Amino acid sequence: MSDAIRTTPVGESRETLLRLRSNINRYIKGKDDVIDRVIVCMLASGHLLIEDLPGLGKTTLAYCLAKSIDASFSRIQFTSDLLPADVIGVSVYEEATRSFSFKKGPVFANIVLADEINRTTPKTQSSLLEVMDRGKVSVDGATHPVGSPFMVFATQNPVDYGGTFPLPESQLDRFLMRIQMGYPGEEEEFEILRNSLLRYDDIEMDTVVTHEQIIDLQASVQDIYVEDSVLEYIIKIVTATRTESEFKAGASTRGCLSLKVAAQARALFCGRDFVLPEDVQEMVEPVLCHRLHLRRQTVDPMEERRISRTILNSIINSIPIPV
Amino acid sequence: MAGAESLLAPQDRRLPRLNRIELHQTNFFLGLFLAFISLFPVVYLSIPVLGYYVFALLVMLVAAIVPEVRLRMPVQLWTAIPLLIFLAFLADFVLIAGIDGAMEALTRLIILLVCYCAVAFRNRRKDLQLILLCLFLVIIVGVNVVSVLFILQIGVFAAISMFLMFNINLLDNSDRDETPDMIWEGFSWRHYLGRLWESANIRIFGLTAALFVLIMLLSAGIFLLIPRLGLENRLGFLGIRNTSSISGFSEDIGLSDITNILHDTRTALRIDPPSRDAIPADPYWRMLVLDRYRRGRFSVSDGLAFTREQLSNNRFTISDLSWVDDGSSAATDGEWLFYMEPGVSRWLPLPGDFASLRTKSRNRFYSIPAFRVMGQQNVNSQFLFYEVTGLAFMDRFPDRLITLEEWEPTDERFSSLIPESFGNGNLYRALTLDLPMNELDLEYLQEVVEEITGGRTLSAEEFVVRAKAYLAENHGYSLTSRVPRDARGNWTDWSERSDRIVRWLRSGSDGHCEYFAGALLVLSRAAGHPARIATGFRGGTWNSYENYLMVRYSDAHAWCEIYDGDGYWFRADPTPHSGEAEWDEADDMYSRFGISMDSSWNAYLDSLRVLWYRRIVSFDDDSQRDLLSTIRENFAILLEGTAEGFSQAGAAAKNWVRGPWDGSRFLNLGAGILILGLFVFLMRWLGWRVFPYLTFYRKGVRLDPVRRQAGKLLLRLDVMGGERVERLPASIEEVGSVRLQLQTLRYGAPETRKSPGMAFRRARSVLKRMRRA
Repeated sequence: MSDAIRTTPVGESRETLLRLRSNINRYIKGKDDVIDRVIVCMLASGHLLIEDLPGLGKTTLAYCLAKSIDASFSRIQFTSDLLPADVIGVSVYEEATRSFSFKKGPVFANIVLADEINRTTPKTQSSLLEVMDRGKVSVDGATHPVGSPFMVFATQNPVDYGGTFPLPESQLDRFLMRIQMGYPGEEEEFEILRNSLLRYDDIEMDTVVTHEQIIDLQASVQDIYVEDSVLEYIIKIVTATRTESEFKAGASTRGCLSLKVAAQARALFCGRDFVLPEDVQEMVEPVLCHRLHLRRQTVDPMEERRISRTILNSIINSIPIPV
Repeated sequence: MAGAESLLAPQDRRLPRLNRIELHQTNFFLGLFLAFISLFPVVYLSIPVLGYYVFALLVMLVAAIVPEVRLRMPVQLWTAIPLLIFLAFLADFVLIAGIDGAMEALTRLIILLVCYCAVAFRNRRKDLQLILLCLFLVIIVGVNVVSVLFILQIGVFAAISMFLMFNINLLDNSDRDETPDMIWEGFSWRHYLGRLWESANIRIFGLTAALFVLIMLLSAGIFLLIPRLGLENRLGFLGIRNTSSISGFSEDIGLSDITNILHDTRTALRIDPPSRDAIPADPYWRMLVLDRYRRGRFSVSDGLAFTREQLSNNRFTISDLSWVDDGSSAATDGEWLFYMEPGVSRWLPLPGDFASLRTKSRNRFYSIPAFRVMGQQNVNSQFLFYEVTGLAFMDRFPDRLITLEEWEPTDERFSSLIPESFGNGNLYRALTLDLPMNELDLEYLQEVVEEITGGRTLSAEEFVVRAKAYLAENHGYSLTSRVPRDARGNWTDWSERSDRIVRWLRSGSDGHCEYFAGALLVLSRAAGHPARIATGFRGGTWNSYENYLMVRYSDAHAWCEIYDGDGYWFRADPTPHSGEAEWDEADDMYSRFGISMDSSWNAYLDSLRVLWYRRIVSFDDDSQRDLLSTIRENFAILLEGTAEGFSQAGAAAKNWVRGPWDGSRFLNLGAGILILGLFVFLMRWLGWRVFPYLTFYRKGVRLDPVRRQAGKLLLRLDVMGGERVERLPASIEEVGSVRLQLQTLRYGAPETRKSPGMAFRRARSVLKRMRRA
């Protein structure tokens, strides 16, 4: 990176974010691109759906991020008997004050890990809706803001689908991105074995970024400049998903907006104050893939993901890049 | 710079695709175009359809310009229209056209149906209906108006209908079903054309066009090559016959051989004359002369068979015949084309002498000069085509002197028969007096000759006239003749000794041409006039479809040639009623003589064949050479014309610049610029990029010059950077920063823009260095 860039405000944020990445990198080995996407998602003030097999470091990733940015972390293990109150909190009657007081649930944290979100009932799932959308919880007419920054890490297991409640499309649409972890490489796994950290509580993370800085960065994403031809490019991509006959329906306008914000966040992460078509291309798959559903029947969800990804790639290839 | 520009080739340019709605719209317009193409030549038909035609065209035009207007029409109307059309057809059929004009009414019905199908909201079924109707229309018109236009039309039709069917398939490939409202509500030509232009792949179009031209050239090449490769003889449908089936025209025939083929009405020979009038009223297509008669069989005498000459046919043309020079009757003008079916004979049917004979292959030909006939070595197993110029229809053939040295009679008995008067001058004429019969038969013949001549010495012509009258008096014509076994009419044997023709003469029974000819032969010879038999065809049938003469096997004929004692052999046809036109009402058996007209269905089929012969088979070397030279000449003329046009235009431009600059000139100039400006504006309004890679107008967002320039340089950097950065390790950093600068200029906010000129200069210098590396 040249000196000219380093001295600009975006250059400084780039420094900050790289610090954050290398910090997380100490414990999450060989997953640079996943970490990048998580950070981009956080910059875009979005929520993340991580989909992969158990034991690949989903929880660890969320925990490391929380610790690195000096944020509160809470984990909700979703089960079929979990109730909304268990998530957002409950008003209890206090004998002493003779009034109801609100006991905050686990959702009141900066980073909330919603583990195995598809194991719980739709009722509980939808209790997350408002909080994910607005960062607030309304109980008994009172509105309680959750932490800021606020980010939901939901995880789900795409293989073991028995007895689950797959997330409805409305809920899926509220996640900015869906990413996969994937297996680590051989060398990275060797490293992990050598350190032999089993539980994430054992991880000792340094705080490298304050969460105020994160809030500032999130605010500055909005200011990343998107040139008209790049906006047009985004629209063309989204329109193409709507006319593509393989998909049941195309991406929503929220999806379109999300793609723009994600591209802006990626531009910021890369230390630029403007969006390149390349940013858009990079964000198409994580942002749009979970919002699209195939018309044809597939054997299992993993295959559906794969086909959707292929189609999205072909869409990207078919639309001329604005030059 | 030029190198860099070529690197800018659109390698990653993927074009957007049309969506289903646009495909539906394209479908509609393709169908409409198809209907236009098929309707277009209908006016050339000599059928009163102009009103329908104009109406259909108007309706289609309106539908093409404002397709969305069809949505405003009530649905019931659409379902009622086919019924109305059918009622109109019924009314037309019953009230106007009638049975005779059924075809006209049908054509009008199809015009209306095509119009309806083209304009209606079509589903797949209706699309296919439209294609079929259009095909029907194209074929009706094409068959009736045979012209080059038809070829063009069918070519375009095929291309469009394939495109349409491809489109139907694309649309049919999904379970989605768009309603007309979805397709046509808010249709705008501007948007549609813009999308078409955007998604048009010019390279694919170019390739397709090139492929089409290639196929056309290939077809033309095959067309030209067919005669060279003799394909026509390998194609089964042209009919290759079993060569052994016909035996009527060989060197040795019996009394019934020709008659046996008289029942065969197939065409043996097709003759394409220069004009209808060139054919005489009663043409004889002479093939072979048989000069020996023995026991009911006619043959070519052995000696003469050896006198045949081989004709050189190196350049496919025979013109130096040894026997043509000795004076002949008036030759006809123009070319005569003869198409002879396989297996007819080895001898060529020729009515007389000719100036030159041309074939399209290197056949081996022989001639027998004494007979003035020519033939091939073997019976033609393949179709034979020959072209004759300077053809003469002769009924008198000059005698050719054959001396003893030239010809050795094989039978010594004949020498005693040669009268003193012939001396050694012409042995051949003497031999054509030979009558190998027993005494009884010869006596009888002398009696008949006495009866004919009345004891006087007659000239050959006079004798023939009387002999013909005698024969016609005593014998009728019949294809089946019964010849008694003995002289008294009993069916006992002494046939071994009595001649068959003499028995026929004695019996007074009916006979066919060979008996008559044979009888005249023996009577002439008995009377001392040298005589011989000629075989071939007589007459023919005029095909009024393609204007040529069909000669059938049933036109086969035999007649006599008698020596007139004065150096000529004249034709004498003793078969009764032949050549007398007034006879034809008596018995239709004789009406086959002379030339009759034929416009039957069979004649039509036959004419198709001749069409093929004329266009393809008779297209030989010379025609090819002619065609090529014509093409070359035309090309040269075109080139010359173009060059001349350019120089003239240059001179005109020069004059124009020099000319006086007055008010009207400025006015004209202004008007021209205005028209040009309007045109450009229209193009831009339609969203057309006139030069795709020199975009003066980009659809969608318009870029300011800095962004555009930065984008161009960025693209160039990317194209080049891919491979060359590695070779410039020192400048990786620099390339990176240049790229970032350019990206900032191209995609960044305008307020962050700093000194673009410097950044461009830097980028160019980097690019230059990279190019050098």
